[in-house]
Amino acid sequence: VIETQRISARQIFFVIWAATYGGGVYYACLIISKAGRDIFFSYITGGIILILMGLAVWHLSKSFPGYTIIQILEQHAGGITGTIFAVIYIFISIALVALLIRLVTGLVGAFFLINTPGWFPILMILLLALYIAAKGIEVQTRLFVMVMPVLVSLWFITTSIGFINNQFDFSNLLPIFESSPAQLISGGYLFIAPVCESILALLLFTASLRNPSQSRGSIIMALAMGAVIISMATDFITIGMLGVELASRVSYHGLNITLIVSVGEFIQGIEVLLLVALEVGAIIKATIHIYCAWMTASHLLNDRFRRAILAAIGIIAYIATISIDSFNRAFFYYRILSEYVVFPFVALTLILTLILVAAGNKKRNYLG
Amino acid sequence: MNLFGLLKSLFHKSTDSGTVMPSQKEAITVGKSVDENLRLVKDIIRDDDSLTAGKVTIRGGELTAGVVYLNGLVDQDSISRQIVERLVECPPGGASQNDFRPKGYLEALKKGLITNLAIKETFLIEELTCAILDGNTAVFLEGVDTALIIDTAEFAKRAVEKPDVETSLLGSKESFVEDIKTNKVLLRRRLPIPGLRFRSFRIGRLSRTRVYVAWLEGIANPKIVEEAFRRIGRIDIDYVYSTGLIIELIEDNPLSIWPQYKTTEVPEVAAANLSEGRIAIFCDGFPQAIVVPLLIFQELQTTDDYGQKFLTGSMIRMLRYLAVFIAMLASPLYLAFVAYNHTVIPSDLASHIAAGRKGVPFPSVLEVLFMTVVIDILREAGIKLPRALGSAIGILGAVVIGQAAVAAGYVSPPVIIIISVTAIATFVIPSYPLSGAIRVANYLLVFLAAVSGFFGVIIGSLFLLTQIIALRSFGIPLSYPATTGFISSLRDILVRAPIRGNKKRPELLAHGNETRMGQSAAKPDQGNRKRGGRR
Repeated sequence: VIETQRISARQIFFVIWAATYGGGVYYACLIISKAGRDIFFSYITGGIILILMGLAVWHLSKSFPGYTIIQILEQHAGGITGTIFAVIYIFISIALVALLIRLVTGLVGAFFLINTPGWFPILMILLLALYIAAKGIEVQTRLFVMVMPVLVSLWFITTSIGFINNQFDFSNLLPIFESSPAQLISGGYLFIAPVCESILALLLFTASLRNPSQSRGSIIMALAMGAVIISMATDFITIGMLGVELASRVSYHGLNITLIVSVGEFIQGIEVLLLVALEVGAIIKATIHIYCAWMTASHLLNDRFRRAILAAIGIIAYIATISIDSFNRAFFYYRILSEYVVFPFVALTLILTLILVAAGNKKRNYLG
Repeated sequence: MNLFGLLKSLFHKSTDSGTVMPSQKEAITVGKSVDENLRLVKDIIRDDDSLTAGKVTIRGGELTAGVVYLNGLVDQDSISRQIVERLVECPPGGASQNDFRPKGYLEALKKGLITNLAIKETFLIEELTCAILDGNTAVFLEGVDTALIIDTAEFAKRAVEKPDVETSLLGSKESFVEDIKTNKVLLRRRLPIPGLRFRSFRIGRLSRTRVYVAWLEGIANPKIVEEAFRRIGRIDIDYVYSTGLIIELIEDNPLSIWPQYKTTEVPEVAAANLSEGRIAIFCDGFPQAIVVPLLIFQELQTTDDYGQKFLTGSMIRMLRYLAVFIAMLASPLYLAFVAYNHTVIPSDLASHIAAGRKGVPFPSVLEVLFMTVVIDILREAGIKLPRALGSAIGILGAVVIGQAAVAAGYVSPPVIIIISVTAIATFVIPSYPLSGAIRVANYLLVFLAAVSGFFGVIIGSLFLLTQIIALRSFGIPLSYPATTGFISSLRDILVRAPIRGNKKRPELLAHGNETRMGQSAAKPDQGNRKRGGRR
């Protein structure tokens, strides 16, 4: 009866929040290795740029409600340019799915399913992500609304147990102001590269906003809270528990923290709870990128063969995932993709679209 | 065949079975001869010795009337007093000569000679026979080609009793019965306002079961009401043998394990749901109301929650959530931790479990599955057996079989504990459909835990959660309002909110009329404080 494939401003908040937690979870060690204990300043620098990008997306979606940013670019730059950007967007999305699933199944294989063949958890995660993506944008956002607070709470509850048992050491966080501006900028870029995957998702999801003009607060809040504040809190605990030296050398911080955390003889093995956060987070993130790739590809093919396209995306992602043979290789590829492809692509798309839209408006005003 | 009959024969529906349905016959009309009409009715309802058809002579043979009814379905006293006596005692005082011509006499009968206000006139034999089969009495008059149908239905029915399934400590002790008219009265007594609307349907080519849709005009979303009419109107089936049949034919996704409707046997619950903007569907012959749209969290709320202090009610509601968690996840988690993720279990506990499992020849998954199946069989046996015997069999069966299985070394004691706790937890869930769905989900999760440990349990749980979130009940998301993203929407979901906090009805249900409580429903001590201040 009430059939609206639209999402509210409040729900886009959770979409951004969910889209933020991708490879960045594994990537923080690199930022710490660059910026050291001053990582928080890198987050603030990167966060400002991220919020500016979010505002650019919001401005475009407000001006062209119901259109994705790629479609807006297509309208202003012509079909060929739009198609090229759309194809790159699809490939980036599928690559992110493959790498992220490989990262999380690498951890799962190493810590939880030692004797299970690697293809099995990959298949399970991918099938579930495809199932959720196929249910449509409303179901996805409703799921994110329910799941995201639980995931973040799980991370903080499990890791914060270290405070109870004095495993957190404040001296690990000091001294600050020891990194150079170049290191901070470098750290800021390393931070923004993976978290701008949320902007990548936003390029598509804003087209489904019910009231784009009223969503500015939600977008800013989600980027500030989901990306910046929670990342800062996470690394506060990480550095406090592990120390900056160890934290800059291991990629799965949360798991390392939970492995060392215990209270008495009864509370132990809480890494299993963190597995929930990592696994569900990866499924959610894979769902978002599969949906982005699916919708963009469907648009390219004039909304024909939708189910076949989804199946094809699933098969490509599966083949790509099992062809990456280890966690370390996935981590390396992920870094290359984030730093040299995702961020430049998002930045270029936004800048080009903004310029073309502004030029179009100017021309229209000139012609009266 | 008249024009009406011709049109009807063109548009009537055929059946696959080849059985000739009453609707498939040509539309036969009432004739002017009483004898012929009585013969026709006897011919249609043949071989039924409870059919009573007789003639009454009026004014010494000036007029003849035929009276037909089915014994056992009617109130004989009413027929005698309201119909036969009135026909025989004719003429009434002040009657004109016109009143004794056949047509005029029929009008006089309708206008007051027969002291029953529920009178209908028909010219169709089919409609007439259907009415007789429903417990009405038909009256023919010689020389008139229409007949009167008078409501005299009265048959043995169960009295209003205490609810069997939805037992309550503090709530109402009345429950619906099989008679739909009584159920209407029970609802009307709780909502004595003109806005309570009923629309009647007939479902079932053979059973012709009467179905009522009830809603509160001005509160229920008109789109949902219209949708209910549309879905019920399109049901075309031969026999209605259960409310579950109607549910399956009208729900949004019949293949899903999760319920998309609420059934209640308590009029109080039905009325409360109507007051929130939902609709209730009653089916003649069944002592439940189907309430739609369902919001899944509503299935974990009971009237008892609101009969207690809000903190007590909240605690009990949270216990219910815990029971859902245990019923669905206790056995899969045990399996995952024992078979895959040992590190979670503290070493002392792990050694106890290992000691219990010593000598058990089966893998943990078989132990869990075996005991789950045994408990489910005992549960079903308990339902089918007489009440006293059923509970005894359930408890004794579980204890005896469990003890015997442990003593024989087939099952370890921790499994007995886990499965027993799981079974008890399912009884805490107030909704039987939800409890059934959780049992099915439990089997799925046990399988996934056996295949891939805790990883599989997470995958399965997320899959089930997505299923619930994707479902709609009459267009309203089942997970509404928890998935709107507003913390305030969780107010009366996770806990039982104070009554004064629930000033609004759910927006999607009561579209445009959400306010359920006036501003004057402020804290009770405010008025006293003001008065105190004046003094």
